[in-house]
Amino acid sequence: MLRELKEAFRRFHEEGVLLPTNYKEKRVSWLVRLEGEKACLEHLGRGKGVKPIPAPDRQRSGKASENNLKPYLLVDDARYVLGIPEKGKEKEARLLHRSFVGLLEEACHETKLPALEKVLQLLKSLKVRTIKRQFLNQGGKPRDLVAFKVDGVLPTDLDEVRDFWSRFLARKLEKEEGYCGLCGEKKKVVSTFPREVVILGQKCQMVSFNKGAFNSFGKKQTENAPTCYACASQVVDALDYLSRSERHHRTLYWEAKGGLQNQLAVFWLKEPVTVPSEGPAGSLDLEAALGGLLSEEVGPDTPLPDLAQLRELLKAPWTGSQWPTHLDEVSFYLAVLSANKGRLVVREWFAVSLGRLKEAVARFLEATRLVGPRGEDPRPMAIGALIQALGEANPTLARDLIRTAFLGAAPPQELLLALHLLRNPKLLSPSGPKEWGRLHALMAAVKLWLFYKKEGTCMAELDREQRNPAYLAGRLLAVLEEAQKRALRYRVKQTLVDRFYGAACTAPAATFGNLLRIATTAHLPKVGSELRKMVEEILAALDQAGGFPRTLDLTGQAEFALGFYQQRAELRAKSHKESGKEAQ
Amino acid sequence: MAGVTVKVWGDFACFSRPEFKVERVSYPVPTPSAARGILEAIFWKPEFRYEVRRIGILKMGTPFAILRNEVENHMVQPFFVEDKRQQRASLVLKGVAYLIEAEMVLRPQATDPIAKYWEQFARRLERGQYHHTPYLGTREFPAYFAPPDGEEPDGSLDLDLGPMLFDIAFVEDPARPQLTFKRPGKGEVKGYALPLFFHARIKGGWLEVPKEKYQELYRLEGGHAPGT
Repeated sequence: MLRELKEAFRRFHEEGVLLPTNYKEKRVSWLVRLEGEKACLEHLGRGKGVKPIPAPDRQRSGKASENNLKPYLLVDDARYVLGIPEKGKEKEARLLHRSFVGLLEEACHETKLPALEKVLQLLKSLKVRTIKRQFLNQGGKPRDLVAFKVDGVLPTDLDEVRDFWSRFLARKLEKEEGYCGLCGEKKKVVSTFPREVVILGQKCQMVSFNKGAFNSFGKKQTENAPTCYACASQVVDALDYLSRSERHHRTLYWEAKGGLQNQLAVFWLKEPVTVPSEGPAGSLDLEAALGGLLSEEVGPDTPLPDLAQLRELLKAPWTGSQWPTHLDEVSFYLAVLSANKGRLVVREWFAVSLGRLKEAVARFLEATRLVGPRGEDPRPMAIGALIQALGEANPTLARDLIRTAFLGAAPPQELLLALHLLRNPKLLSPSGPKEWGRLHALMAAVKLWLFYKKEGTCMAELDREQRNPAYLAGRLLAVLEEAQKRALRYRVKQTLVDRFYGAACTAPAATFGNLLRIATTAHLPKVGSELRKMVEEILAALDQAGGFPRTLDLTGQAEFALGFYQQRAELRAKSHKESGKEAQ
Repeated sequence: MAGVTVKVWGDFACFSRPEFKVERVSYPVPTPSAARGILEAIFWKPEFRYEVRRIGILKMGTPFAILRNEVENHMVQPFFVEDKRQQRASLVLKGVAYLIEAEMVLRPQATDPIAKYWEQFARRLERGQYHHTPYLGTREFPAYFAPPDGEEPDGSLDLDLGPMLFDIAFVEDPARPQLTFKRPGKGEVKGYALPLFFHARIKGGWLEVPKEKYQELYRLEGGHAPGT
């Protein structure tokens, strides 16, 4: 994965989307403005309301001591910048401030930048006392981030400062000589990776050997996995960008308590690909569209991916003058990551060519494509929607579905949990838009399990020619329910589906006799001929297919559920149309 | 020199990447040093060493994630395992099979001809004898082994795997005393372990191991090199 991240670094670097080497976006709460001879303090706010700025970053952990002082250049918390102590930790604050000033002196000496000299002069002068007083009077806290702006410019934005920071970290981290495991060259290798990445709110080292049992051959930390400074910085920068960019990541599983359960998927193409499309834009960003397969929920700045458009695209032959050449060979990379006690965990990793991926994704989209519960046009379903609908706290399910969608592996058996959920009357009769969406996704999960590996069968909508007894029984239940509702003029609190769905989908032969008796005597005589005809047609087809099955296994129950859902969707669509006509 | 070919297979395998050897991620195929470890489990003497020439991929295996409770420290007495628990994830391979082709080369201290060792190896391979259980990367994943049965790798399998661990050179260097190891004729010496890498490519279902890497290894290990 690190090798591919190194390649990704080159791509993102060319695109100009990366932060400077070993910089990180930070939300600064206080700004010390230096204009001419004047110095003043400005409070920018706290938390998410503050716009983040790129600032130097490095790996920093453990209790601060003479041997463990790691200040950030120019932007750090008030303990480092101004020496503001936490309660009872005055000595520590003095130590931290001294290290911050020491680093600034080194930067001044090496870069000879007037802006840095001005900051250094301020910190060494008596003016700093006024700044400190202002800071405390305005409610500043020791852990608030403080930055400097000299004559309207953030010194951290200067190229000389960026270069110094990179050189400085290299000097600090490079230790023994060895072969770099990423570029293969004999170089000095780093003792630890330059900085951490943040995975779902948890800081972690990409390569970490933080316990005794992990070390081998008398080596410590990253010496166990020799990596040169340039390679280490590049892979961290690339992964940091991927995990921040809405375009390149999706949360697969998240719990507030954190830990290994939480999973983040990062994905990217070896090169950006835009392909012609019939959509309004005339072209489709393939990377964003493939991300939509993971989850359609994206941030406000990213265009909503359209899975239906992606499906059309995958069905078309990838040829023509507008199409990029060698599209089949472009690689798609996906990693599922977690954080475990400060260490990065790779839960899933694959690289697959678009040529191979195309078939698997097309099959997945086709298998999840299903009519809406109220007869809306069929549409495919994203992995995130399936997981959310199943409500399954099983992180493995997400990874298994990713393998199905992108690599063509068999769908996970856990999808059949949907059958169990569908026996809940509340789920079968949704009340709000969210519940309607959940029912749709649950049925898409059932359909995916049923049809993923079957050639030529799609069944996105009601199939009247289908002679599968389980499917026909499901359809019949939907028609009988509709008859009951119409006969009672829709003033029914509990329909026969609410009471008998579970029994009907497991033992149809024993259940339908009673249901048909009630329907023929109490409901069907009161409704129009349309439903009676439907019942007759379905019963005739069932007779041909060998009658009601005595019991249904899981596959049969899935077919039953699909028949029931699709028949219900059609009846709902029809009644919706008719009520629309009446209103006109 | 004498060539040996062994078919190995197993339910699971984990050839840990150095960068992900804590929260383990396996290379997609065995490293030459893992292949050497399998051969050494079957038969090993200090008089010779195996040089892995190529590894045939009969079954690539599918990645499979597992989560286990492990411990954070090496064993020291007293050891209360509940205090040292570490939950660690591993991305391993499931259902793998390989053909290992290697050569036995004599070391300088050897006095008998290589044929002696080669025949011993062939006899042990035929009988299924081993010194310790051969394993696929980590000891919890045992390897089954047998003489080749004619099964050939998939000729259409071509993959560029990038840098891969070749082997570890034990370099004698009193100025860098990270560990102590033994050298024939010298007893215990101080030095360090230097991981060597090579650019791994699978062509026609075979992972070719560059012969010259062994020369580099012998050069780094000084007098520890084979005789010829």
